[in-house]
Amino acid sequence: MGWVTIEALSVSYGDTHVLDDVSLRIPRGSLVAVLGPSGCGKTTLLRAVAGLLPVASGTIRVGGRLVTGPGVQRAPEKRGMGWVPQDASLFPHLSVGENIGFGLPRTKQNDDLYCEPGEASGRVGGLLAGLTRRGRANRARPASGLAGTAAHASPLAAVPISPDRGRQTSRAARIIELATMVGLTELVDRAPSQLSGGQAQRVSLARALAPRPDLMLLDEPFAALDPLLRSALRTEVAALLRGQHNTSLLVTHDQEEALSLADFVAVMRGGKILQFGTPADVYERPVDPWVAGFVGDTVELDGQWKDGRVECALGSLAADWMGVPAVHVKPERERPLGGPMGERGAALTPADGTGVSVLLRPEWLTLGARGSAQPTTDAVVTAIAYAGHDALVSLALGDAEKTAVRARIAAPDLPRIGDRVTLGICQNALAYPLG
Amino acid sequence: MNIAKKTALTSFFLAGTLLLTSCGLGAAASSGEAAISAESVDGTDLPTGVEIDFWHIQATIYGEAITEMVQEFNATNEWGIVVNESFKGSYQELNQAVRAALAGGGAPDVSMAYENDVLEYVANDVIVPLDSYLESDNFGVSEDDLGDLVDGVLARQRVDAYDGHTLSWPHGNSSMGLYYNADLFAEAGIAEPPVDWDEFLAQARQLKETTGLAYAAMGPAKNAVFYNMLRSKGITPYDTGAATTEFTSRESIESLELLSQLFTEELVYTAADTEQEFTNERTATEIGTTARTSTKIDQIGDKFDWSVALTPQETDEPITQLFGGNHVILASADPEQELAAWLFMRWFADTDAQSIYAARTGYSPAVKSALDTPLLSTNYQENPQKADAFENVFVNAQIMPPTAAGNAIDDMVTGIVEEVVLGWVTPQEAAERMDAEATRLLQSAPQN
Amino acid sequence: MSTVSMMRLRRKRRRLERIWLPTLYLAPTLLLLWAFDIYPIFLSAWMSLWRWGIKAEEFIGLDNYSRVFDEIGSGPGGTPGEVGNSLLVTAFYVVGTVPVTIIIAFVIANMLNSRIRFLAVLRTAYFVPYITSTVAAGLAFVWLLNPQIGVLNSALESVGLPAQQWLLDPEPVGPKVLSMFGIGWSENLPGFLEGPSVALVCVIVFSVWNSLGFAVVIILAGLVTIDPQVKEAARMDGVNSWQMATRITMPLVSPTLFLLLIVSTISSFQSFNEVYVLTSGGGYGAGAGSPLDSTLTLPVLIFRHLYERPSSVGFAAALSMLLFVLVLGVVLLQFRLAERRVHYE
Repeated sequence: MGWVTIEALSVSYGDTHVLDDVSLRIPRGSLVAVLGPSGCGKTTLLRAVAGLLPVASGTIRVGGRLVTGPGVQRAPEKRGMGWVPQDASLFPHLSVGENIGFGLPRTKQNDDLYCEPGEASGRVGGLLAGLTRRGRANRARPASGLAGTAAHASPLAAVPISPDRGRQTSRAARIIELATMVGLTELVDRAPSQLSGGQAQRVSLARALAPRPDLMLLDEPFAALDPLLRSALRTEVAALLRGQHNTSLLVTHDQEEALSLADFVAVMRGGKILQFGTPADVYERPVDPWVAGFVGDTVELDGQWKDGRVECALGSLAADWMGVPAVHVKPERERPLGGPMGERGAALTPADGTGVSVLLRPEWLTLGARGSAQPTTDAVVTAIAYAGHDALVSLALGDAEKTAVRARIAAPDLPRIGDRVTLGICQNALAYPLG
Repeated sequence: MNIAKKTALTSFFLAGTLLLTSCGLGAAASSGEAAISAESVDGTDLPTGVEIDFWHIQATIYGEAITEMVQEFNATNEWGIVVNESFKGSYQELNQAVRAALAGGGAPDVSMAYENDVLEYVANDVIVPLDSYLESDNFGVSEDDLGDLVDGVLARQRVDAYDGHTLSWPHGNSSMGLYYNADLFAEAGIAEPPVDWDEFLAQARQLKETTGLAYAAMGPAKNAVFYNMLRSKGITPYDTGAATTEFTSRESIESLELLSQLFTEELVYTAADTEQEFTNERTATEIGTTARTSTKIDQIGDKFDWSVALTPQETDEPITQLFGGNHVILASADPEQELAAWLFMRWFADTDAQSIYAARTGYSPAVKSALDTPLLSTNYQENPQKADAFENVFVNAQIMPPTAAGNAIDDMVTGIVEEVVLGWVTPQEAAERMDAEATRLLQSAPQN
Repeated sequence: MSTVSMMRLRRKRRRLERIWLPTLYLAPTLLLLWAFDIYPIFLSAWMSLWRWGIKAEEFIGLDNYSRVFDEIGSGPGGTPGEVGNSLLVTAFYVVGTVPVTIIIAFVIANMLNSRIRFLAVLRTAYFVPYITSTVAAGLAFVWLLNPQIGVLNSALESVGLPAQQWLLDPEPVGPKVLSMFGIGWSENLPGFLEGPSVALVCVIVFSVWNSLGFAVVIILAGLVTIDPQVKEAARMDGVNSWQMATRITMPLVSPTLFLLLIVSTISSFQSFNEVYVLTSGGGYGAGAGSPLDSTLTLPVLIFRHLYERPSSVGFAAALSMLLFVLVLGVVLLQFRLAERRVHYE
C-alpha cells in the first residue's frame, strides 16, 4: 500500500524532460531516499511533490488525497508537507523558537510573538485554530508499525476540546517539545545567525516536524555540512524520523547516506527511476551495471553464460541472470536475497555461450577458500588502499591478460603487496547483458 | 529640486554680501536722492562701445521684437552703445534673478520691473533715479516728448510713492479690455458690448438664454476683474499712503454681489486659460489684457468676427487697468554704464522703437506719435482690433496704486473673491475680511 | 637603512594611510556638504533673526519666529492662519503621499519580483516617471486635468459623470464625496476632517505616480536579497500569500522599507516642484498654492515669502527652520516607533 503515490509524473523545462514518466510509492511511515547524480531530476521530483513547480502530467496522492493531477495543483502551503532544505533556510528575523513554531497554528491564547516559550506552555490547550490544520495537528501519532492505523483516527479525535491534552499540545509546548527532540532547548531564544550549520539544520528539521506533516521532504539536508558532522547528524535524524513514524522522502547524491538511512532507495538517472528497492536490494541486486557502479564499488569482468554459471577470468562462477529489464516500483521486502529469480528469471536466461558482463562487489571476494561458495583462483597483490576498518586490495589474476580485480578485505587479514593469494568468492556473481 | 535647496542656494549667494551689508545697513537711508546731478550727467563724456546688459521677460513674438529693436539700437545709436539682451522668464523669475544678482553680483544695467518691485529696489538703494537724466540738456527728454507719452504710461513712472522722483521709464504696455465675439452677440441679439455692469449682467443672461453659452470665463486670479469693477465705479480699492481701503464701500459689495450672481447663475465660469475659451467660441467675451490682441488675431483667424472694447464703466471718467512693466537702471557705480543704460531706455520709449514694438506685438505704444509712423499706421489698418485696443481701451488705462504689500494684497483679494464665487462667504463678510487684511498688510508693508 | 629609521618610515606611512588618506577621500563630499547643507543651515538660522529683503535690513531677534507662531492660528473666525493652513496642507500631502506610495510600491515590487511576463518592460514603465523631469510630467498632468479640454473630463463625461474643475477646485474632498452619496456634512465638525482639497488630491496623485518608480526600484532591490529558499520554506510551512507578505517578506525587507520611509518622508516634506508646476505652471496664473491656498505646502509658503513678499526673506528663513525642526522631529519619531519593527540581519 502506498501512502504517497506518484504516478506517471513528467516535468519539463521547455523542451527538456526533467522527469520522464516517474512512478513511486512510499509506504506509510517509511523513509525513502531518492539517490542519483546531480542533474538526474531528483530535486525536481521533490519540488514537484512539494507543489513548488508545475508538472506536465501525472498524479501525486498523499494519503489518498490527490494533490497533483489533471486540473489539480494544490498550493504548497496546503499540502501538509514538511520541508527541510539543503541550507536550512531559517527565517533570519525570528528566534529559533519562533522558527520552530512558525508553521503552528496561532490563537489569541498562544500567539504572542514575544512571549517566552515557557510562559505560554501552561495555558489552556485545545484551542488550536485553523480548520485545515487542526486535523494535522491533532492527528494521532501512529503508535507503531508501518501500517499506521491511527491515521484513520476516529472523528472524536478531531474535536477541538478533547480531553486528551497530549494531542492538544499548545503551541509553546510543542516548540519546547521539538527543541528538546532536536537537542536545542537552550537555544530557543537565539537568532538563527548565531547557530552552527548543524544546529541550523536541526532547527530546520524541528520546524518542518512541528505541524506534524503528512510527508517530510528533505532536500540533501546534510550536503552542506562537514563530513564528521554529516554522518553524526544523519544517524540522529534518521532515528528521529523513525521515532516519529514520519513518512519521509529524502533526496541525496550520497549513496552511503541513502543506503544507511532509508527503508527504500529509488535510484534515478536522466529523469527516470531505474530501480526501487530496499538498500540491500539496490546494492546487491542492482538492475544494471550503472546502478551497481553508482551505489557501490564493482568488479566487472567479461564472461560467457553457461547453464546458470558464467565463465570468466575468475573461473566458472555461479551467477544470477540480471537481464530482466524491470523497474521495481513495489518494495519486495519479503523476497529472499540471492534466492531464485522465480518464474521470470528462469524463463529469460540467455542461451549458453552468450557473452555477458559479470559483476561482483569487492567484498564478495575472499582471501583463501574460507567462506567461498565458488571455486578458487590464484592472484598476486598489486596494491593496497588501506581504510582502517578494511582495505581495498588490488590483485592481478593468473590468466593471460593478468586481469585486475579488487577485493575488500577486513583489516586483520590483510596480505602484503606481492603476496600470492588464493581468491574465493562468497556469493553468486551477477550477469548482465553486454552493452 | 526642493525648496530647502533653493533656499540654501540663495542663502549661499546672499552670504557674500552678509558681512558688507551688516556693516553698512544705514546706507539705505539715502534712497530717493539723486546720486548725480543733471550737470554731471551733461558733463559725462561717453566713450564709444560701452556695453550694457538688459534683462526682460519677453519671449515668442515679443522676444523677437525685442531682438529686432536691440539690433536696431546697436546699429544706429551715435555712441556705439552695445546692448546685450537676455530673456529671464516670467516677471517673478526675472525678479528672482535680479535679487540673486544684486546679492551675488552680475546684475544687469537695465531690467524690467513693476512698481511694487521698484519700491523695494529703491528702498534698498539699488536703482538709479532718472530725474537728472530727464533734466539733462544733452541727454534729457523735451517737454514735447513728455507730452507725447500716453497719460497713464507717464503717470506710472512717477507715482506718489516715489516722492516726486521718476524712477522708471516705459517698456511697452497693455490694458484690461473686454474682447467680444460679434457673431455670438448677433446670434443672441446683442448689438454692442455692455457700457455698464448692469448691462453686462443683462447681456450675460440674454446670451445664456438664446445660445446656452456662458458669457465669459474668468481665471483663478479674479482680483483684477474685481479691481476693475471698483475703479469703473470711481473707487480706488486702497490708499497706500493712509493705509485705508474702500473694500467695504457700497460699490465694492455691489461688485462682489455681481460676481457671485454671475457664477451662481452659471453665466461665468472659472477656467485656467480664458483665451482658449474665447477663441474656441465657448464664451462670448473675455476680460483680459490687450497684449493678447495679436495672438488672438492669429488664433481666431476667420473663425468669427470680433473686437475689443473698454470694460463697462459707471462714471464720466473711464478707467481700466494698465499692465506691463517698466525699465529701471540698476546702480553700477559707473556713470558711463548708467548713462548708456539711460540712453537705451530713452530710445526704447521713443517713437521709432515703440512703433516697431506695437506693430510686432500686441502691446500698445507708449507714445501717441508712434501711431503716425508708416509702420504702425499700416499695421493698425490691417489689424483693426489692435487699433481698437489702443483707442478704446489703452488710452483710459491707469495702474493700481503701487505698494510693497501689493502682491500680498492681490493674493488675499484673489482668495476671498474665490470664496465669494464659490458661495463660501457672503459679499458683506468678504468685504469686511478684505478690509481688515488689506489694512493690516498696508500698515506692515515697508515704508519708503 | 637602520631598523629604527625603517620603523619610523613605516609609522609615518601608516599615519598617512590612516589619517590623511581617508580625509582626502572624504574631502570632496565634506566640502559639498559644508557648502550646500551645513553652511546654509547656519546661514538660514542667522537670516531668520533679520528683517531681510534684497539684503539685511534690520536685526529683529526672534520677531520672525513670533510671527510664525502668530500666523499658525490667526485666520478669520478662529480658522488657521497662513502658516497653520500650510502645516495642515503639508500634513495632508505627506500623509497622502508617503504611506500610499510605499504600500503601492510594495505590492508592485512583489509582483515584479515574481516571475511574470514582460518584467523588464513593466519595470521600465514604473521607473520612467521618476526619471522624467517633474516639470515636464507635471505639465502633461496639467493638460490631462484641464477642466475644458482635458482627457480626464472627457472620460468622465463619456460615462455620464459630471466634469470636475480638478486643479482649480479648492473644495475639500470629504464633504464632496459624501454629497455624491447624498450624505450631508456637519458644519460643527473641525475643518481638517473635511480633508484636502480636490486640487491637493490631484497634486498628491501626481506625486505618488511620480515617485512610485523610485520606491518600486528600492523595494525591489530589497526583495531580491531575500533568499528564495526561505520563502519556499515558509510556503511549505503553510503560509498563504498574505502571510508570506506580512510574516516573511515585510520583516525581511524592513530595513529597506524603513530607509524608504525616512527618505520619502523627508522628500515629501520638502517637495516643491510637484505643487509649483501643477498649480502655478501651465498658465494658471493664480500662483503656487492656489486655489485658495489649498495646495500651499510649507515649502511653497517659504517660496512665497522668499520671492513674492517684501522684506520677507528673514521670515522665509524662519519658516525654513520650522520645516527643518518639523522634519527632524518626524524622522526621530519614526526612528523611535520603527526601532523594534525593523530587523537587521
